[in-house]
Amino acid sequence: MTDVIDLRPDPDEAEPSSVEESTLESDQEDEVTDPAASLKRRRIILAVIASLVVLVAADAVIGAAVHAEHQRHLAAEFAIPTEELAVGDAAFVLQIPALGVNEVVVEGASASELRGGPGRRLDSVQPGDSGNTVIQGHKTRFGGPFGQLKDLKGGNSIYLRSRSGEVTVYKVTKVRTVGSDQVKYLEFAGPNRLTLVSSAGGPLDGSRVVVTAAADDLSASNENAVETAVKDAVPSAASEEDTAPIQTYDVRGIGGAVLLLTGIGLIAVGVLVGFDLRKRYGWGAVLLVAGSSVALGVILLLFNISMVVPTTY
Amino acid sequence: MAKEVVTRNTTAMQQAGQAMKKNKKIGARSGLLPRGMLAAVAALVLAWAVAPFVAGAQTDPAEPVELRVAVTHESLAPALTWLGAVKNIPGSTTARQIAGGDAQSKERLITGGADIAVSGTPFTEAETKALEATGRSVIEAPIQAVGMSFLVSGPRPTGIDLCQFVEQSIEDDPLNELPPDCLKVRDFEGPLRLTSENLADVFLESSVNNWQDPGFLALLAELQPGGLSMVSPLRPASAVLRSDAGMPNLALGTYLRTTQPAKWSTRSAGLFLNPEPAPDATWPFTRAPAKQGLPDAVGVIRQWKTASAAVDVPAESGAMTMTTPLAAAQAIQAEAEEPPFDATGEANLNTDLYVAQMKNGAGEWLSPTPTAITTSLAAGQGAPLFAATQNVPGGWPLSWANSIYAPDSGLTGVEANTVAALIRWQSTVGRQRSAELSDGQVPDVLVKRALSAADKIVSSNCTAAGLKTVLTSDVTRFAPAGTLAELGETLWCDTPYDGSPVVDEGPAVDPFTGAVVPVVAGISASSGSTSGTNRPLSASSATPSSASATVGSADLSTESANTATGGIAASLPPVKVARIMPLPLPGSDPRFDRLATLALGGLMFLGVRALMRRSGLISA
Repeated sequence: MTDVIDLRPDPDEAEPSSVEESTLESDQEDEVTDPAASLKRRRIILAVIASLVVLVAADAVIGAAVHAEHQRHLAAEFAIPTEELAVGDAAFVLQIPALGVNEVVVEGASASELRGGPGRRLDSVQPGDSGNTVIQGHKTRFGGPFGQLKDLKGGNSIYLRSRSGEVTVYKVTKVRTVGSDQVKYLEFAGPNRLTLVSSAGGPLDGSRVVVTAAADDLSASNENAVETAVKDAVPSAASEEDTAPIQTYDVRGIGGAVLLLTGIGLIAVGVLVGFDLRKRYGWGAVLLVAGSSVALGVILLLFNISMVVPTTY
Repeated sequence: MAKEVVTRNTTAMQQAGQAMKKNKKIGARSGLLPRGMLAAVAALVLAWAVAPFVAGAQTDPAEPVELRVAVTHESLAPALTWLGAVKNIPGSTTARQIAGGDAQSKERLITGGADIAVSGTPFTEAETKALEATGRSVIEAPIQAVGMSFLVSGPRPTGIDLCQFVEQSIEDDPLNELPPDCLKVRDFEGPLRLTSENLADVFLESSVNNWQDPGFLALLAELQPGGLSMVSPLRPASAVLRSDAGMPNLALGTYLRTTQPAKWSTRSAGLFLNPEPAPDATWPFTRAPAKQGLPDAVGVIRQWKTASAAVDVPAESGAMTMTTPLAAAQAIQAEAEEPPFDATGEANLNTDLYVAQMKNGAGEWLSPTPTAITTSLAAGQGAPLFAATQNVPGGWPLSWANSIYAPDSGLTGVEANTVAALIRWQSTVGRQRSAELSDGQVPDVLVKRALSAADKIVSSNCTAAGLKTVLTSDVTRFAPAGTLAELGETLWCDTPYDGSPVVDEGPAVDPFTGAVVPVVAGISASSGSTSGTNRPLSASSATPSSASATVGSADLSTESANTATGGIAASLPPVKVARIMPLPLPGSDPRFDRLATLALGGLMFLGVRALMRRSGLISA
């Protein structure tokens, strides 16, 4: 009466998996007709969609937190007067009362600098000098400090205060939406002016909002000030020839691309290894090893996705 | 017995219960203090963590920004006239004029030193490009018909020297008698005439000595027959040049290049200069002393007899400069009214000043009257220097129109309205009163262009400012009541008026009346949106708090002639510069850090406590 328990795999039960495997390799007609395969496929699609949603949500939350945290530290740094600035340093405070913008601007406008707030392009001039001061900022990601840039109107005032306490005032003269190839607004030669740049469209839209503001130089009401300014304001034929071409709105580096690929690789490795770990060691191992790998990959992805989307998105 | 035992037990139990209750109360009371302290500490910690940290706000408000009008020296008087007319209108933008040369005015607009510019020369290609770099282009509105004249400090008439010499001789030798010739001596009263050849000799620095040139002297003797002859200085007449690039230099250069091409070309070739006069260049021949702007140049001419050391040219040679008829007339008047001795007791040497007559294209000798300027511009449909070469009877040869150059964006709605009001006022009231400033009348074709430009300035800037335009004739907020009535309904930017006072303490002088108007632009107004009548462009119901005018100095030129920055404009107080950020500076708010620190600290405490319990160091 003793029941014999056969621990050997049932050859009949093995068939579905072999059928399933064969189904994956079969033609489309077979896939549609197989409910198990369809369910699995649906789960994969749902997982991808869920991952994207989580990614976007994480981007919004983590990005905003990173921006806020950077701004707080930059504000503390800004309180220390200095005139020698390195890339990433707090350079000046930008205030646009019409939009409620009150941000510490950093030196440099690459993807890494823009995470902390708006950044001054290093190929533009310092505020107050003759020429074009260009500040780029995010429209949506990392707190979106320039999200409302397109709402600026002619005559709106923009204030910049340097770490040495000098305030430069500008008046908005033009708000444009331009294509990614229209980079003439970044030219640094010419009269003292300010150009604010952000993205105009979605994550895959390269168009930009470009706000041009002319200097509102009240101190130029004496003759000497004008005499000095005049020399630099109107470009001569020689200076036009010397003007270097402006490259692009997006300031990207190879380092970001490497990190982006690394992030994607870590996520893929984590997922692949995770299946194997679950079978062998259970969920604890999955969370410990694969989870860490995926988390690190997600962070790298979020912080370097600007290699794909516009730097100012 | 049993009942008693039960009763005792019950009593003991009750007592025990009461004791327990008592002990509990005591226990509760004894734990109240530490718990309260704990709660207080917790509250403090929470407050420390959550309490906002705000950086020191800049409490001083930003100063109101004015509409800054960069005017040429030639257009200063009309600008002041308009300023005096609108100064006490509530709700209007506070305006301020900054005088300079044409090129400087345009540069101020480009570099942000001014909101609009007045200039006789149009924007050059480079200037246009520079302005476009700031996101703007310009709209031109002609507002003033101006003529250029030559103010001449002449050499002394011979007779005066002779008489002085004779009087001195009589004092030394009483037996000497006054020679009868001396009685014929009189001052040369003009008119002093200059041909284009004379001007070329002086301003192109030729070696010809005009005061010894028979042709030149013949022009003077023509109206002084039989009497006066001039002292013949050894040096040629000097030109006091304008170092501010603009229309005066361009007009003279164009005039000489057209009327004296040989002399112009020879001189240009000799110095390897571009023979074409440029609108943004100063006078190319710079051996003569150059002065910054009209007031300085006129001032040097006025002080010619005593200023030889300062200008490095012997005073006896005489000098001339380019000026407006108004400034020339005022300089002559001021010279005539100068007291014989100054405050220190030194004698004031009067300079003999003349406004030269010139010959126009029709061959007439003319003075720079408002009628002559009007005639020239009307004949040329606004073209500059038209009567210099064309046959225009009665037309002053050196006439042109000064224009307002306003940006097509970047002005607020109020500023756009103010500029439009200025243009419309100059095209109506200012045009009618132009002769009082020795200016001509802007021809009809330019008036039409100016009024069209005013509409364009309003529509383009109003849209850019996110506002809407309206057609209305009720514009008392931007122009004195009734002054623009003849234009009917005009285009304005519909801007709300918040009634907030804007006080400008600078004086405004009406060149017509000489009245120094106490400038109180901030008025207790109840007009516009604040009155509930929805008349944002109107200030008719406003009550000026201090609108009384006190009559002061009427002299527009005497005070302004010696200033470097343009006369009355220089006497205005400096603009209060908005150098304070409008919002508090971003603060390094540490709340997140504090909360994170607390959370981490709490977690560490729990972890360590759990470990210690497991290891038996502390009891559960």
